[in-house]
Amino acid sequence: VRAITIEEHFWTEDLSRVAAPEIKASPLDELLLDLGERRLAEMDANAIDVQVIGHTVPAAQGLRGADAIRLTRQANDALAVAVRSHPTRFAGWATLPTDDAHAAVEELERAVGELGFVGAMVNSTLGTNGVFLDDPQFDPLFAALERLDVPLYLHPGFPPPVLRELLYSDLPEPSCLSLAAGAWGWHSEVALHLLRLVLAGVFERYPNLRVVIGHGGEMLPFMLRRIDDFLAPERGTGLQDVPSAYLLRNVWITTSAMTALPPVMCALQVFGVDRVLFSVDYPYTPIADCRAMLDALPISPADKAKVAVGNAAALLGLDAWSSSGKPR
Amino acid sequence: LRLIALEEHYRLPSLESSEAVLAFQRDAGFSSDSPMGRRMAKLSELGEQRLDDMDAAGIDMQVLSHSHPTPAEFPPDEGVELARAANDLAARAVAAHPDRFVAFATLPMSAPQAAADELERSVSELGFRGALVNGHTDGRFFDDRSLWPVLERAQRLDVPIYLHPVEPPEAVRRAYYEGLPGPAGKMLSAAGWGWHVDTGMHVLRMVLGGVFDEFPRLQLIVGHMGEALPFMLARSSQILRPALDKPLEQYVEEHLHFTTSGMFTYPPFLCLLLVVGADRVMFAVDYPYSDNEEGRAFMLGAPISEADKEKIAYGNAERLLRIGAHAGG
Repeated sequence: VRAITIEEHFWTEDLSRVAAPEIKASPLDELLLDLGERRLAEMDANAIDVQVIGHTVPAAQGLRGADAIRLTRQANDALAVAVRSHPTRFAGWATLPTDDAHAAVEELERAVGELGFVGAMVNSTLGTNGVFLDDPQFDPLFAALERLDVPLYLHPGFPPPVLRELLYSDLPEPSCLSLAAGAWGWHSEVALHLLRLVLAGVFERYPNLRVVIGHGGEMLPFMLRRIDDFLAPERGTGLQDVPSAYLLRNVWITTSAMTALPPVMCALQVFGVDRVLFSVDYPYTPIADCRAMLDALPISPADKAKVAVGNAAALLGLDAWSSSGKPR
Repeated sequence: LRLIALEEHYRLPSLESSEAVLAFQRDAGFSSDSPMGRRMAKLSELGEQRLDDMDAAGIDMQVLSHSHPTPAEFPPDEGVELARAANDLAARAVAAHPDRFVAFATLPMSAPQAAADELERSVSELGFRGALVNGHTDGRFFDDRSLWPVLERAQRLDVPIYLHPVEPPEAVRRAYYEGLPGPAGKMLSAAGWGWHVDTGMHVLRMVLGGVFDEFPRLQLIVGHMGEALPFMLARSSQILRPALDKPLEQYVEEHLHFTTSGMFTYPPFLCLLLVVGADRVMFAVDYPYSDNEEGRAFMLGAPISEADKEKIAYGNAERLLRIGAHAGG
């Protein structure tokens, strides 16, 4: 196995129709819908053996009401079909109907137990469900993730309208949407989301919970010492330890969409080589650019093998794939 | 190694008992006998105690700037008076110790035309080297044309603006930072996270809003290693490319400078250096909130060439702020 990438996206016809209205039709739509030859050919061309795939934004976070559970199941079932068709090339993240925390737990159990998914990918919930996951209603979800021993991939989502209006309005289009999303806003929101989980004591209550964040760590590696300085126990946070104690124990980082070396080096220096995993963010970022970043990363071959393959195999229980690791 | 520190704060003594200061200390849990409370007590002193603190850590010069609360947080009339008083106070400290202090003006941003005039008075009459502005003005960012008189004047006077963090607008605080135990939400909204990423975002708003196209010689200084911009620059640039006439990196190379204020670890520093280069990075401590000694140890131990160290420790600041050999340039 030459590389495993773990933040790769698809969508289903059903859930693409409930996409946030601001998401316009795009040439990427076809790539998102494909779970077969076209995707495999792109992977082959860039020496990527395995994609771990999750439903793109807004995914099941955007669903409400009576249909939510049914549509979520259909989306996960569709991905499961693709994974079963290409069991050595694809693995799946479950999407969860987070508008109903109880239903989210049930779907996680089904997706892991029956469909063989490696965990759940949840897009930031504030803009869609009105709350962050530190809301106590989600404690059973963290308990289930811990019990099933699968990680949660905390992925960005569009910030809520109030923030879109306050922070990301009154600029020439398409700047507003870009700034609210991939250029800045939804990345800083993922970091905030994770810091809220820390400060709400989630990792003290669920010490074996594993969370993955992408995009080089959503700025957290850059700011981590500053965060510790101002959110240490002596500031009255009520926690046993500084935030980094939980982040470095419970969190893994992927390089999704990061094509530049400096932030990835920063992430490696702060989180350590065992915590950083290669990813692409297919189809939003060109695979070749990400592959070039990995190839150029100035670390030892042993460490690069961890980033490319070993860490993902260990985190997601894909041991069979890493041990059969001959180049195809 | 000569050390010029770029983001060093003071506060008008009359504001120490203001509601803004008391509320922040209460919400953030900074009682006067807490470690941070004791540090903040140094804000209103601009003489021997400060010089002793500088001497103990080998800081040769501080560029003074007024801390929270800024005149921008007061009604326009009151803000104008406060700004004059604050700048006059700093000017007296500079006059008393011209080899140890220079200053950035504080501006009554809620009255933009008066703020531009106060910037001119501070530079032309008091010899200040620019202005430090605390982020948004009542929810308006610098892409808002109502604030452009200040930027226009800064360009005309050929002095930089230091864009400093400030607490988020109240509605942002409610949406993002409520519901956490104790003072955690308050700190998370400020120095623990929020106001840093908001400042990085503010810089992007300035680029996207055409500020640097309108003011092609304007220079901006950003603290805290660049408020996460260096980490995100390649990503942000890729996403924003369709919205801009030239790459985001080009705006950074032509208009931005960065300081080390309050961040004394090497991974973000190296990320910053790899992204922007040694000519655009300057030393800063963030006194009294951060520690002079820690800043000095960080600077001396930086794993970079002596030549680059000299640029970052003082050379770039002397050039940009016209200090020492560059005075009068």
